[in-house]
Formats: sequence, C-alpha cells, structure tokens
Amino acid sequence: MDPFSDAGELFAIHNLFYQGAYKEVLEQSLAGYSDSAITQARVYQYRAQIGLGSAEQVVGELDDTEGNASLVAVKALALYKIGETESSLELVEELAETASDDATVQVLGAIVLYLAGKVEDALSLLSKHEGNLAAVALIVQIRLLQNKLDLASKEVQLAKKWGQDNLLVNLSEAWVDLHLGGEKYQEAFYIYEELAQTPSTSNARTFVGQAIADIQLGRLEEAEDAINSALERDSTSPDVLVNAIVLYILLGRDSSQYLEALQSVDADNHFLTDLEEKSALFDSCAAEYASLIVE
Amino acid sequence: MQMLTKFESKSSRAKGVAFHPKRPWILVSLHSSTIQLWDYRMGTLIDRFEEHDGPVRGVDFHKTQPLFVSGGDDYKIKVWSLQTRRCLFTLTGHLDYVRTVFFHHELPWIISSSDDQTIRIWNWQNRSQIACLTGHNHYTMCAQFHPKDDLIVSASLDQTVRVWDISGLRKKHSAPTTMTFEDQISRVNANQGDMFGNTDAVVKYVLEGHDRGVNWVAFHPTMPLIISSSDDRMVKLWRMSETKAWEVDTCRGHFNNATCCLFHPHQDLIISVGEDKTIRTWDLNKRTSVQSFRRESDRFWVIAAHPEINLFAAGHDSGVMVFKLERERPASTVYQNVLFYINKEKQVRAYDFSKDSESLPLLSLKKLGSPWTPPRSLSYNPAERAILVTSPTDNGAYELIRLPRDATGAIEPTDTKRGSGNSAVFIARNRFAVFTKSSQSIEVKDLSNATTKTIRAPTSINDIHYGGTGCLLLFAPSSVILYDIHQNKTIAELSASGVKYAAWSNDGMHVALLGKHTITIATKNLETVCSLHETIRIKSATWNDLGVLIYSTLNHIKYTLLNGDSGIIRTLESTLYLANIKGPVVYCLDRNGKVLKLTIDPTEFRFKKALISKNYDEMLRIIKTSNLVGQSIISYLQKKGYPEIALQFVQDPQTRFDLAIECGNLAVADEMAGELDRPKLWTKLGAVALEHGNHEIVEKVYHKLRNAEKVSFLYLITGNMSKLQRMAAVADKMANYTAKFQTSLFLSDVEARIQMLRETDMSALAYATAKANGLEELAQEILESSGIAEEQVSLPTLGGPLTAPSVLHNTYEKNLQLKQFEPTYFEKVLLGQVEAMSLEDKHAAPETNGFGSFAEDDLADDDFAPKDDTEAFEEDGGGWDIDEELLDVNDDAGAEADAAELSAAASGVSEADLWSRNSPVAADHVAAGSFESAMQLLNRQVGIVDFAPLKPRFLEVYQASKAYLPANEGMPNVATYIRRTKSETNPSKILPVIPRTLSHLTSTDLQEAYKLVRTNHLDDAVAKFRGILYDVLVSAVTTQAEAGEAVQLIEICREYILGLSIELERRALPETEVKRNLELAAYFTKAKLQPVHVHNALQVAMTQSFKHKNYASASRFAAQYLDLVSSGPKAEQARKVKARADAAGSDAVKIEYDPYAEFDICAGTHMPIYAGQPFVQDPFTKAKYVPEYKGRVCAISMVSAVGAPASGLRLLP
Repeated sequence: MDPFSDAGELFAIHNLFYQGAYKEVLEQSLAGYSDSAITQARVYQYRAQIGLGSAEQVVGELDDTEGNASLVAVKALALYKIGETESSLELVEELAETASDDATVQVLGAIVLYLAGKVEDALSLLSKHEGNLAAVALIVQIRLLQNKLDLASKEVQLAKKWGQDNLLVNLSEAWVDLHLGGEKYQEAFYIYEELAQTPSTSNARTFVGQAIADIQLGRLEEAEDAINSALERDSTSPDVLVNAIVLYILLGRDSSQYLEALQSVDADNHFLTDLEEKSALFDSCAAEYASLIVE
Repeated sequence: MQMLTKFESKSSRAKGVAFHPKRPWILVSLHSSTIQLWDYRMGTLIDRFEEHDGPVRGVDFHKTQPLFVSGGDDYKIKVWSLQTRRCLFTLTGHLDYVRTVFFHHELPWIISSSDDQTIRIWNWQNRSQIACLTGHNHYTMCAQFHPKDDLIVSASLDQTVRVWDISGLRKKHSAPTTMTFEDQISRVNANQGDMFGNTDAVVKYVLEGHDRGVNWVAFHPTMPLIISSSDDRMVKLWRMSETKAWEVDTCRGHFNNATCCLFHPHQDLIISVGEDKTIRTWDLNKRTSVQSFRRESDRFWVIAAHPEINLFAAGHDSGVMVFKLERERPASTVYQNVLFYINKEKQVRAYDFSKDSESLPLLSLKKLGSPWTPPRSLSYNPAERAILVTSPTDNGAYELIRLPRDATGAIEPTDTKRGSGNSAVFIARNRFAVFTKSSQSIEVKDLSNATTKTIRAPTSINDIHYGGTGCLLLFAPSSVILYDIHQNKTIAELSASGVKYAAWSNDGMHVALLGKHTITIATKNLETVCSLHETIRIKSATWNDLGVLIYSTLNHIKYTLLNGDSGIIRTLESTLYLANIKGPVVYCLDRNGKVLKLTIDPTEFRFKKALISKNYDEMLRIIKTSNLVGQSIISYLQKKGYPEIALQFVQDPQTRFDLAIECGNLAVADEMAGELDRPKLWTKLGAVALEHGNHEIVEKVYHKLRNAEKVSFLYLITGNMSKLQRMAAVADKMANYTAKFQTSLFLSDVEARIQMLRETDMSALAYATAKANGLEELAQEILESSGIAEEQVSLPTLGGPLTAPSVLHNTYEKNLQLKQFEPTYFEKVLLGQVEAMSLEDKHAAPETNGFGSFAEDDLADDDFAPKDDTEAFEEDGGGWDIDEELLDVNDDAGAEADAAELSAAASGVSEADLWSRNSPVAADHVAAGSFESAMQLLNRQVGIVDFAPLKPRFLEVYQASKAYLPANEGMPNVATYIRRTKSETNPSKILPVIPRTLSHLTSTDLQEAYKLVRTNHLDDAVAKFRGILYDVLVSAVTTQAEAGEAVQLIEICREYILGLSIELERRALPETEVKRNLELAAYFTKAKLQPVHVHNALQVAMTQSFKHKNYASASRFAAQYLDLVSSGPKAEQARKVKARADAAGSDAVKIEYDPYAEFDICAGTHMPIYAGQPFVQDPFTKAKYVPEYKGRVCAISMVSAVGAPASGLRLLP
C-alpha cells in the first residue's frame, strides 16, 4: 500500500508537514511507524525543525547520518540553511550521483541546488522522480519562480491524472491558479477555504493562502478576516506578516505594526531586502532629476 | 415507495375508520362496540362513544357539520354531535347488521348498507328513511354515494357490484318547483320504475366478474371509474359510460380476502388491504403492483383516505394506523442566497432570495427513482455547480448531476453519474460522501464517481449530514457524531436521540440538530449550547443573520435564542419547511414544492437578542420604531433582571413604581408615588431612599407622612440646623410638647427645654435641667414660682451639661451616594442625555487669531462641486506628445524585458514586466518596480522633478503589488501578482492593483483633510491635501469619468493648499503688518473651498477688517457672508458688524485687493494675478504663478516644476 495514501501511516504527518503545521509535525510520536516508514517520518520532523529555524540543531543531530541517503539530504539542506553552502553542495552533488532515485534526495537536493542558483541542475534532479508528488510540487514552484506559468500548469495537469486528490496536488493547483487569474482565483479560493475550514488542516499557512485568494478576488474585508485568523494562530510567522503588510496597504490602513514585527522576527526576509533595494533604486533614480530642482 | 407511519393505536379489531375533513382527528369503530375519537397528530384519545351493542362496522364524519354517524351490529344507525359528544338520535329500520354508513356530500342524507340485503337512504334532518334499495340477494357489504353525480355504488356477497341512479330521489326530495306539463309527463314516463314500482332509485348497471362475495366498492373522485375488492382476493377496476359499464382489469396479488380498497385522492394509485395482512398499492394506469407493506400479525379490515392531506388510515386486528405514502418534504438546499429545490414535478429549481425571483426549471429528474417516489435529499456544490440527489427507490440511490449554466427549462440531464446509497452529501469542493445503511459504510467519492476511500461507520448510524468542510455529522440512534473524513476519526460526539436533520447557522458556528420532538443547538465542535422540547413534531429550522434559530413545527413558526429563550412567531395552517429568513420575510417550501414568502414580526426575538447581546442601540431602535408593549415582554425583562428597561415600557403608575424601586430609579419612584399618593408607597419609597442616602426624598416622604419626629431626626443627622430650628418653631406653634422636647434636645437649646417643662408643669424636671446646665438664676426663678425653698429639693448627683455634637459637615446640602444608581446607557439614550452630535464641543479648537472653529456641517455628504470640465482636458490637445511618449515607453519596457530575458534565459517574463508593457500609467510602472520608467513618465507628463516626497507612495504601491505565497518548505515564497483586472487572463491586458483608489481617497482621505480644516489644524490639513495629491499622481483609473474625477480632486487639493497657505502666512505675520494681514485675509476668501469653509474665510476677513477699522471692507465681507448664511448666531453677529461698519463708512488701510476684479492668486507670492497679466502654470496642479517662478518647484505640490513642458497626467491606461 502506498504509505502516503489516505489510509497509509505517513498520511497524517505528510499532510501536517505540507500544510505548514511544523509544530504539530514535531509533536508526532515516532513510536508507531514501521521500519519502512520511520526514516521518512524522521525526514519530515527534521524538515519541520528547519522550517522552524532550528537548522543548526538538525546539523548537530545528524552528525551520524547512518549512511542513509535521505538523512544526508536533510543534512545538506540544514547545512545550506546555516550558511555552509560549500559543504552542502558537495553533499548534494555526491547524492545526485549515487542516490538520485531516492525521493527525499530528489526534493531536498533540488532545493539546495535551486537556492545555490543551479536551477537547471535542480530541475534535472527532480525530473528523475517516479510518482513523487513532493517532487512535482517543487517543480511547480520552481516553474512559477521562473515565471514559466505554462510549464507549471502543465505539470499540475499531469499530476492531477495520477495524483488524485492528494493535498500536494491541490496545493500545487492553487498556486498555479493564483497566477492564472480570472475564474481560477475562485478555484484557488475554494481549495484554500476547504483546507482552512477543515479542523485537521486549518492553520496559519492555510489561512494565508485563503487570504491571498481573497486579495486576488478583491475581497479585502474577507481577506482581513483570514489574515486575522492566521495571526491568531501564529503571529510571528514571516509568511503571515508579509501578507498582512500587503493587505493593510491595500486597505489603505496603517501597516507599520506588521512591518516592525517582521523586522524583529526575520530581519533578512526577502520582502525587507527587496524593499531596501527598491528604496535605494528610488533614491538613485530620483537623484537623476536632482539637477532640475529649483527652490 | 415508503410508508411513513404517523400514528398507531392499540385496541381491539378496528372495523371502521374515518378522517375529519379539517381537524387532525379520526374516528375508529371497533369490534368491541366502542367508537374512538383520536387526535392522530398529538396521539391522544379525545373521546369514546359506547352506546352501540356489539361491533360497530361503519362510521363517517359529516363534511361540514359537527356530526358523525355510525352503524353497528345492533341494526342501529346513530347520529352523534361532535360538540356535545352525545348521540343525537338513532335511525332504526334495518333488520340485520349495518355494514357501512356514509353522509351525502351535500344533501342531508345518509346511506347505509346492511346484511338485510338492502341499502337505505335516510334524511338526518327530519330523521326519516327516504328510500330502501332492494335488489342484492345477499348481504350488502358496502354502499357509497358518487362524489358528484346522483349515483350509488354497492357491493354484495351476491358477487355483484351495482350502480344505482338516484336522480329520482333527489327530484322528489328537492324543494318543489313549478313544473310544466311536459316535465310532468316526462317525469312520469322517464322512470318506468322497477318491478316493484320503485322510481326513486333504479339499478343502472350490474357488474359481474368477482367469483366470491364483494367486500368493498368505491367511486373514483373525478373519473368514471369504480374499484372493488372481494373475497376472491381480486381487486377489480371498472369503467362506466353514460350507457354501460364494464370491467377494465384486475389487480392480482392478495393471497387472502381483499377487504377494502380505494383510489388515491391525488395520484394515479389504487390502495387495497386484505386479510393477508398487507396493504398494497397499484398503478392505476398499468394495474401493476407498486409496493406492498406487510404487517406481522394483523389482518386489515378497512382503509380510508384523508380528503385533502396525503394521509391514510387502516384498521386492523389490533387497532388502527395512520400513515402517509412518501415523504412530502421537498428535497432542498440553500447556498448563500439561493435555494435549490425539487418540486412536485421533479424539476430542479432555484430561488434567489436577494432578487425574490424563481428560476425556470433547471433540470427534470423524471427518470430518477420510481414515478411515485420523490427525491429525498439535495446537496449543492458551488465550486462545480453540481447537485447530488438521493432517492429512496431500490434501497436508496443517488445521482450526481451538473446544473446547466443557464436555466432554460426542464431539460433531461445528460451527464449523470449514479450509484446506490441511502444518503449522499458533498463534503468538499471535489468530494462527496455516500452512506449505505445496510452495510454501514461511508464511501468518499470524487466527481468522476470513483470511490477514493471507504469508511466504516464508527457505530451503527441512520444518516449522514454535512458537518463543515471535510467533516460529516453522523446521526446515530442516540447520539450525533462529528467525524473527520481525512483523519478517519471521531472529533466529537453529542448525545441526542433520534436526530433527523441538521441546520447550520449562516456563520457556520452553530448547528441545530432536529429530532422529532427536540432541538439541540450545538457549537460547530458539537458542544451543547441548549436544547428544547416540543410536543408537536418539529419539521424544519433555519438561522437568521443574528444567530436566532427559526423553526417550524406542524403548526407553528417559532424562534429560539442560543440561551434557550423561545417563543411562537405565528401559527401555520399547513406544514411548511423553512428555507431561509431575511429580515421579516421567511422563505419556505410547502408540500407541493412551491416557495412561499411569509412575513413575520421579528420584533420580539430581535429585541430579546439585542437584550442578551447588550446591543442597546438596536433595542432603542426597536422600542422607538415598533409597538412592543405587552405584559409578556415586561415580565420577560423583569425575569431576566432588566427592570430598568422594563420601566421604559410601562404606563401603569403602580407597576412603574414597583419597577423603579426594584432598579433604584428614585426619581421615577418619587414621581409615581406622588401620582398615586398612598402612605404605603411613601413608606416604601422612604425606606429605599434612606438606603440610597437620598435624604432629600426621605425628607419629602417624612413630610408627606407627617412624621415630625422623623423629620427632626433626619435634620439632626444631616446637620440641617436651620430647618431643625424651624421644626422647633412648628412644634411650639402646634403645642406638640414631645416634639418640642425632642427638637430642643437636638438643638441643645436648654432654655427652650426648660420653658417647655415649665409649661407642662414639670417644674421639678425644669429645675433639675436648669441646675444641670448651670443656669442658677433660672433655677432660682423656678423654685420661686413653685414656692419651694432650695433646701427642700434633694437632687441626685447631676452630670455636666450635655450638648449635641456640633455639625462637622453639612450633609444636607447634597445627597449621599450610598448606593450607586447610574442610569444605564440605555436609559440615558432614552432620556435623550447622550450627545447625539456636537462633535464640535469635543474638538473645541483653540481660537487663534480670530479663526473660529468651523461650522458643524457634515462635509461627508458634500460631493465636490463639479468644476469647469473643459479645463480638465485642455492640456490634452497635444495628443501627439502622449502617443509619442507611449511609443517610447513601450520600447523602453520591451528593451528592458528583452535584456532580462537574455540574462536569465531560463526564466519567463514576470508579470511585473507585463504590467509595465501594458500600461502608460506611471502607477503601473511603480507597481511593477520599474521606478526609472515611472519617473520618466511623471516627468514628461506633469513635470515632476523632486521625487523625494513621492517615495512613500512609490514604495506603498510597490509593496502592495504582490502577495507572498508560502509553498514548499525551504524554498522562497512565490510572489503572486495582485491585479486590478480581476477577471482578465489575457497577458497583454492584465494590470496591477493600486492601493488607495480614487474612491477611497475621496471617501476617506479627503474627508479626513476636511476634518482637519474644520478643527483648525491647518498645517496638518495642508500636509494631508498634499498627500492626496501624491496619491492621485501615482494612481490609475478605469473609466473616463474617473479620470475626470481625479482632475477635480487635484483641483480641490490645490485650492485648499493655496487657501490654507495664505491663511497660515497671515497668522504668522507680526502684529504690525496690518496691511498684509488684511490683504491675505481678503485673498483667502477667493480660494474655491467648500461653502462651509468659505464661511470661515469670510468671517476671518470680516473680523480682521472690522478690527483694523476697514469698515467698508468689513461691510462687504459681512454682506457676502450673509448671502451665504442667513440665520444663526454667526449671521446675527455679521449683521451687527455690517450695521456698525456701514455707519462708520470707509477703510482706514488701503490694501491691494479689488473685490470686483477677476483675479487669480500667485501660489508663490500670494499676490493677485489679474486677468491679462502674464503668468506661468504648474503642469501638475495647474496653479498659477507670476512669471519669475518659471522653473521653480511648485509651492503647492512641492514636486513639480512650474512651467515645465508637460503632456498632462495620464491615469487611464
């Protein structure tokens, strides 16, 4: 039986992980897992730990990777996250040679490669997957980041044929829908609303998704409700805060509270660095007109 | 087809049964000689009638009169009154058992059939037999009138069915009319009479075909058909025409005597019962068996149909059962504002509550299930616009059908997916659950009808219902379970027995679980909130927007609040299924599948709801607008502990007094006591007032009660010495010595006391008092007057003089506040104490330099006055420039994008790049992050040179252009670009969202700026207006009209910034600069402001001119002011100024201001530019400047260069 299927033992932890419920992932006991599944469960827990910002700890715990390719891949990602990019890339390149059929290696390796700017290498590693939805979801995301909407969309359509109703297929579809626009916004909204309203899948991240769909649909008040629900669940998540800032600007209200919160939680956030860049860009562009100013 | 038993009785064998045509009653005649009258709705035995001897076989209600008739084995026919519940009279004549008795539908006749082989017709008005029909040669088992024609049908053990013509009887017994000779002849000749010369009733047809005795026969209500049942186990259908009658067909199936049969009153069905213990239904058109229902051990003897409602009653060996065939609840579901339902014709329809409109039929489901079985449930999926319909046919089946986009009529569905199961509901966008009762399994299916997952019910359950996304409510016999489909686990369980339906509140926070007689309201996590019991069956429920549950029983619409308070809203004549409630309108479905709108009075539950949620505004509104006075609401309020609110409703002084005392509202209590003026009330009021420390009322009460001693003591303890003195005087005057003594004690007035003692001849005490207080002289005098020497007096040891303590605090001046009586917010509002308006007082601005706070007119409603529109586009003349620019921009953007593509060959074109390609609007470039091109555009369009002030707006627009979608862990967020073209998917037309739209600016920011002006925060106001200018500068519009509005908005901001800058300059002037001061005040009046703000400018100019003795100017400004404002205190003041200024006459200071010339004011120098004088203009704000300002940064906008070449601001892509 497919361990990720509805009745499989990894189903719950897999879903929790991909909904972004990292704390709940860590709370899962590993006692009940069969030998074949326990490694995968551990991978989820390590990734959740990295997601919560404790990459260092993961590196420490994975001092001994027991020769397990999956765990090596996790270690590579953790190393990358703490800035040891060189050694991380070495590990990944080695894994790509030796264990490229391992689903975890594919996904985590591709993440490291993408982060290191080796996008094509990442995609070629991912292309080796056989029925690995996590790989599909990652391909979709990379395609979106590359602004290749048509390829992302194609990937989702293919996955829908065999991936059934898996959470990852749904999420990937929602990501693509939010880029396609038009009627697709509403479909994305349904997907996120469904996740956000189901008790077992409702968490900050799903509410963020719902809020984004609402924003895209122009329903700012509903978006505010969703963002508030997300904030209630996790008021320190950069993902929530970034979108709260965007929303409050759109509402024409003061967003500084969230900007400050973001600065204190994650000063290196892409949003902030991007904003700084743009601010500098503005200054340099404006400077070109300075000679025209006559008081 | 289903049989739904509604009522069952236990008794001896039931041989006759009849429905009351209007009330929920049945008569049951028993083999034991009793006749029972049951209320089958309540399930109660209303009465028993026991006057027959032996079995009673026939019984019937009169259609309109309160009468019923019975016939029994005692050969008697009895007519009974339903009112007195007594036998009115007995008709005798039959010579053997009476089998059946029936009333005629209009004539005062009764027909009876008897084992004496006769059929007799009786007139119950004159209590006589009017006809005896002979011809059957065995027991006649049944005889009935035709529902319309003058016909009788009868059945007999002689194996025949006979149809009789009784038109002769009707003629004979109808009122005599004048008859022509011909009539008489024809009458004589028409009915030749039978062999016995009987012309009243003649046999028309004899129907032979049954092989054994016939037990029952009946006419079809509308068609010329007859049905009969016989001991040969056959049910036969006969047809007749004017001239003949023949057998049509036979229904075979009963395997013992068929005892009774009838036609379904509304459907093409035949129903028969027999001694084989079955009830069978047959298709009238095909004569095939539809369904049979078997009872374990009781033979059926009789069956009757309700004339109107879909109800049947069957009598059997151990009682009677009332049942209906088929549920009558139309399958329906509500999604947001639309009700989807299936009507009697099995058509799916939609009803839109917001438009009050019903769609054409969307689909026809004729082929679903069997023709006799209506669909059971309907579930709607908005994402796919699909419905799930279940039907109980063949042990349950469901169909998944997509609704057509547009309603075009009852078309047959084309793409239908089917399966078997008892109930089916959508649980998610692309999933539905199907429950099969026999296997207790729940299958989760996707939209292609493939099973994705099968769940075993955690316990034995009867039904499933939607339980929130991804969850199901499972209805077990004694509990309801909330089950998570994804995790395969029970989330919560609530014990509630026999739940059949569930209604979710609009916000999804609560669910009402409906059983037959109970409603349980639970939260979405199945925690019980409240539950209530109804004796009448509960049918349906819906929630209103306030969270009040409205539900229907068989005969009422009721409400219940979450705290369990409930009440009746209105009564119902027929059963209705509530679908929705909007304000006072309840939408419901009736049993025919039609949508009805009922208007109810929601006042009561709204009020109670408002009370519970402490929504005083709403309560106030209800009190003011509705007629909500009644004992019930008062006692409700009192019970709930709101006497102070109840007080507002009551007129009766006594009740008002009681309520006021209860809530401590002494003022009202006092008023009411004054009105009623009863000592008892005063006493009560006094006691309460004392507790409250309200000694003023206490004083009043004691006066009222003429209780001088208490009054005096009150004065003492409150330290009111002057009044105490007066009490002493009063006591003196009234010669009330006790009082006098007391007051003198209180006042420490020894002399008065001694005097009083002497007056009352108590010299000894007087002497002792004098002595004790050291008044030797007085003591001596007392001795003398009583003629006693000092030696003769022996005094006890006297203490020192005692004086009353002196007053430390004048308590009497003010009531004590022993108990806090704060009028509630609610009372204050009612008393009109809450300031409804006058924001002015709160924002009282400092009066600076004669610039008063502005009038309180609400500016929010003032739309800005339309200005000269030609101006808006005059600069647009040079369309060439713009087009050229457009080309430039596109080229630029294209080149940039190309470059980007080259640099990262793998990446596609980002949406931001598309935006800047798609639009010549600066804001769109800003949103795309392309600041350079945006600045270029702004510079060329409106000559912006100083961009620094625009930075916040640029960054704001840029930040709002994307949302950040978290996706895979470890990867950066995916930016999703937010569009303002929501429905556009063509990449060459999509455009970004720009925050603070024009309408937001005018409705919010502009009003805030006005408010700053009103409250005299001019510096802030200028900054705010300038902010609006920047926001407009970097924004986008979608229509030409909006573009015009933007131009207007820029004008408004310009005028305000100019005007306020002038005023600010004036205020900053030193005292000595009188001339400039007056000039600026005058210029300020020329700014095109809102009328209320012009008032302020004129006032300033007027007062300043007057102050500096420029009387002519003052008079002119006053006149202008009066033109605008003609009444009020300020107008009065202006009038005075004008009068005095006119008297004085001339201006003391010459100023640079020609009131009659047209001029603009230079925004830089604040000096007039008269018509014809040269000027330069700012390309953005269109502000005018004297020529030397050319090239400088505009003082109004602070960003644009005056006189710069510009093509005009472009906001429309």
